[in-house]
Amino acid sequence: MQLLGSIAVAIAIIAVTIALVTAKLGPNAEEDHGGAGKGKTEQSGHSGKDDED
Amino acid sequence: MEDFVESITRGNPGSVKAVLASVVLALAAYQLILAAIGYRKLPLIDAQPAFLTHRASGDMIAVLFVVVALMCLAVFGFEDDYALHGWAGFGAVVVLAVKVTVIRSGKGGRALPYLGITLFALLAVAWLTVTPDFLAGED
Repeated sequence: MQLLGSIAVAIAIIAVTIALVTAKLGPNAEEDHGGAGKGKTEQSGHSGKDDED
Repeated sequence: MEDFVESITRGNPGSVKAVLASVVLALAAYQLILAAIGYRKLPLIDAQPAFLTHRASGDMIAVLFVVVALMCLAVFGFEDDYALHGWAGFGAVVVLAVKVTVIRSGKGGRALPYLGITLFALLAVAWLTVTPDFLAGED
């Protein structure tokens, strides 16, 4: 039971971390649908390392 | 390799890297708690389930860490602006290799807590030197 609990905590940590980090990137995802965005996922601008190349 | 990484991340290697690296750091922090439980410094649950989860979680961290490191090298390479990030990542790879070797050999178990703390510190430095700025859109 303790083993299952500790594994469940690990899975919860993963889920919460992904949710928090993607929320930081999230506004960009919304702008993918609404246009006029400077989202990291679509941008050709200058606010993300993805664009260094 | 760079094209492959760009392809599987749909042109967003930085974003994917930020998510995966954050998961690695969060699990690494949990690893410290599990190790403290295992060594009876924090007796919340029994030592055996704590160490079992520590081992399973550690295996996953190792895989994710190698994936993130390869992605980082393939797409961004070594850059002078991120020297500390690069050295911290390199150090983490070395410490991880030593830790796995110690575990596999069954000798030098007394060093494991120190190796674990060092590994966490290096992962934290590698994360802190890039990810917060990236998430803030400053990079």
